[in-house]
Amino acid sequence: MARDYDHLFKLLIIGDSGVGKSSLLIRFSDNTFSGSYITTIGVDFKIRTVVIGGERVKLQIWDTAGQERFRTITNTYYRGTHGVIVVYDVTNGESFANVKRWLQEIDSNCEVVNKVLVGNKNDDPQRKVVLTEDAQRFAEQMGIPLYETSAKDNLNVEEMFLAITEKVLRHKKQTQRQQNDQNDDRIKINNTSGIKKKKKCC
Amino acid sequence: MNRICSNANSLIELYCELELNKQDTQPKVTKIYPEDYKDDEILKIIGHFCFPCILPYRDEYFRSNPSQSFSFVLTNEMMKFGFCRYERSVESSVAKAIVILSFHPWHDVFLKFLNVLIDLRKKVHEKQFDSYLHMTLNKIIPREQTPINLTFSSNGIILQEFTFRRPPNRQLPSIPENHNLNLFYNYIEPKTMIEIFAALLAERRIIFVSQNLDKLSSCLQASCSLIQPMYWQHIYIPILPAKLKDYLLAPIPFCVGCHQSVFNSVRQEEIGEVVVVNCDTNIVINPYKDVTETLPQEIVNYLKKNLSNSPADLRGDRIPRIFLSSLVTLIGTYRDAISYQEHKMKFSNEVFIQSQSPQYKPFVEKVVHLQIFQQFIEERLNLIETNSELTDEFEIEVELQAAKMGRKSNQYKEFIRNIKGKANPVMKNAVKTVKATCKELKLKIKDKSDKTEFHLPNSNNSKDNICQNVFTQPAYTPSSSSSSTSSPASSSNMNILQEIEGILNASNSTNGSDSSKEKEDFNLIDFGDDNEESIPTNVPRNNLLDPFECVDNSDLLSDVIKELDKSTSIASRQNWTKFD
Repeated sequence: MARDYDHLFKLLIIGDSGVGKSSLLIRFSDNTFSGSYITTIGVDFKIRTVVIGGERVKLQIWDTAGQERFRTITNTYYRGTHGVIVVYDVTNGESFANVKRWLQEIDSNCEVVNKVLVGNKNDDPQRKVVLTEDAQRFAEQMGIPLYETSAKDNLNVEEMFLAITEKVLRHKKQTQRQQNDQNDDRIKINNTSGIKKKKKCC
Repeated sequence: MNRICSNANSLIELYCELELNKQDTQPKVTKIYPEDYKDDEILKIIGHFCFPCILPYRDEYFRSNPSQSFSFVLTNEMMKFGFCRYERSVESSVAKAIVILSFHPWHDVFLKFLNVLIDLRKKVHEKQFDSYLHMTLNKIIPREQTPINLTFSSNGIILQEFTFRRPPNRQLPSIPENHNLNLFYNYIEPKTMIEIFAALLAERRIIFVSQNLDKLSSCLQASCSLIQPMYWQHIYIPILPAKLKDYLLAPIPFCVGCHQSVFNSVRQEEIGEVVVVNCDTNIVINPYKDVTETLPQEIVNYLKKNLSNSPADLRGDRIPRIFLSSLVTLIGTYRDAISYQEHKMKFSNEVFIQSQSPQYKPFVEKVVHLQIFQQFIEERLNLIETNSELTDEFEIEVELQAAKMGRKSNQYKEFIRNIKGKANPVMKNAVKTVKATCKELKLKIKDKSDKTEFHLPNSNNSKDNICQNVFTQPAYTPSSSSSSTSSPASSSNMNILQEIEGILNASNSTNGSDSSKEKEDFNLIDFGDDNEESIPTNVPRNNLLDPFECVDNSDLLSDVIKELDKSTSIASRQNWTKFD
C-alpha cells in the first residue's frame, strides 16, 4: 500500500481536563464524526493531513485521560513524540499553574521537544483571568510561541496547529541536514586519514 | 497509586450477551443487564473486546483458544475488568459470548463465575436468570477474606452453588491460585520475564503478542504486577481489538496485548520503535536492549539465578517475590531521601541518587524520571502525611533486607532519629509504624519457625496479636511458599529484628555500636543460602491450597491442574534455553 503522506508527525496534547483539549482536536480533525475512545481505553487521537510547501504532512494528535493525577509528567511520556501542544484555560488560573509546572519539567528533562503554549476559551473577556501579558512573558521565558484560541468560536485554532506543524517540520529538516553534514565530514575524514572504516553499531 | 477502584460497591457492573455472525465485523449485543446501563461508550465498544481478532473467528479461532475465556481491561480514570467466555457452538455460523464487567480485578473468581452463569442461563427461565443477576449486582461486598455467597436456589432447591472469599487487595499473586500468574509462569521463560521486567522499568512502548487471548491477557497482566509496589501509569490495554489497532501507533509508553493476526495487519514502520514480546515463541525484540543497557547487571544475575530454580521452588508467591526483592534492592532506600521541609514531606531525587552504591547509580538516575516511580513516591508521601501505615509486602521486604545488612540498618537508624527529632505527630506515627512493622515481622518469622508442616493458622491466636489492628494487610498467607516449612534462617532473622527494635527504642544511642556491621562490598541482592532453604523443595499440590479458599476449591484446583497439564509446560520448561 502506498503511503498517503510525505511526513508522519505524532504530537501530544496536554493540559488539565476541562481546558478544551477535545474541542480543539475536534476543530482540527478531518473527520468530526469519528468516535472517541478516551473513556474506554484512556487514550485517543485525531488525524489530519496538511500540505506545507508542497509536502503532505500527516498529523496525529494524541490525548490521554487523567493527566491531572500526575503532579509532574516525567520525560518518558514525551520520549516518542515530535511535539507537544500544552493547553490551559484562560478562565482558569489553576490550569495555567499546572501547565507552568509541567512545561518546566519537560524543559529540564527532555531533549529538544517542539512545543506550543495554548490558552483556550479565549472568547469571553469578562471571564478571562490569565492575562495575555503574563502568559506571553512566561512563553518568552520558556522560548515557545503562545496562541490564545477559542475552540468554540474557531479562533486561532488553525493558525496554532499549522504553527506547531511547521515547527516540527523545520526541526526535522534541520536535524536531517545536520546528520548529512556529519556524514559528509566523516567521509572526508575517512578518505583523508585512511583510517579503517568502523562497523556501524546501530 | 494504582487505578483500581477498591471501594466500588457492586460486585459486577454489567452483564452482556453478544453474537457475531460469520459475515459480520460488528458484534451484536443481544442482552444487557441492568437494562438501563448508562455508559453508551462501553456498550458500543464492548463487543469488539470480546471478539478482538480479525476474521476468520470461529473454527480456527476456537481451535487456538481451547479455554474459551479470557479477561480484558477498560481504562478511563479507573480500570474496569471484563471477563468474557465463548459458548461452545463451533458448528453454528454464529459465535456467541457472555461478558461481565467489574471494578474488581478478581480474575480467579470471575473467570469461574462465567461458567456458573453459562450453566444457569441454560437451566432457568430468563426472568429467573435476571433475578439472579439482580441479586449478584446488588450484593454487598464484605471485608477481605469474608465469604460471598452467590448460590441460586428456586423453591428451596439449590440449582447453582457459588461461594468465594473476597480476595485480599495487596497480597502478592501466588501459584497456583492466581490465574494470570499461572499462565505467565507456564508460558513465559525466565529470560523473557527479565526482558519484560527491564522494558517495564524503562517505561517503553510494549506490545505483547500471542495467538491465544487468555494467554495474552494473563501474561500481560501478570507482567505488570511484577513491578509492585509501583503500578503501570500509562496506556494499559491487555486485549486490543482489531478495530482499535491504530492505537499501537501511540507515541507514549504503553502496555498493549495484541492478537498475532491484529499485530500482523499493522504497518510496522508507523509503529516506530517498540518492544515486542511474543508469548508463543518467547522471542523478545527490544531495540533499546534494556536488559544489558538499562538494568544493573547484578540485578540481572540475581533474577537469572533465582528464576532458574526448579518448578517446585517457584510455586507460591516466589516469582513475584523474586522481582520484589530486586526492586527492594533498587528503590528500597527511598526513605533515606525523604525529609521534612516547610511542614511537608519532601522527596529529593538528588539525595536518593547520591545514596546509591556505584553499580546502581546509573540505573537509579533513570528511575527517578519514571512516572511509575514518581507516582510511587507520591503515594508513600501521602501515606506518611495522612498517618497511614506503610505495611505492604514491599516495606516488609525492605525491613528484612535492611536487617540483613548492618550498613543499611545503620542508615535506617539515622532516618528514624532524624524524623523522631522533630516532635511532629506525623513523625511519631511513622516511628510507630516502623516499630509495628518490626513486631509484625517477628510474628511472621516466629510463625514460620513454629510450623513444621502446613496447618490451619490458629485464628484465635492471630486475633490476640497486637499487630492485628495495625496491619491492614496481613502479610501472612497460608498458601505462600515462604510460610511453609521451618528454616534455620528464622532464628537469625528474629535476632536481627530484635536488633532493629532495639535501635528504635534507643534512638538516642550513638552510631558506634553498629559500625562494625558496615560492609561496603555487601552484595545487596544475594541473600545467601538461608533464604532459599526456607522454600519448600517438594510441596504436594494439595498443600499449596489456601485452606480458607472458596468452597469450590476442588474444582478450581482441577481446572488449574488441567490447564497445567494441557500446556505440559512444566515438562517443557526443562527444555528451555538455559541462560548463558
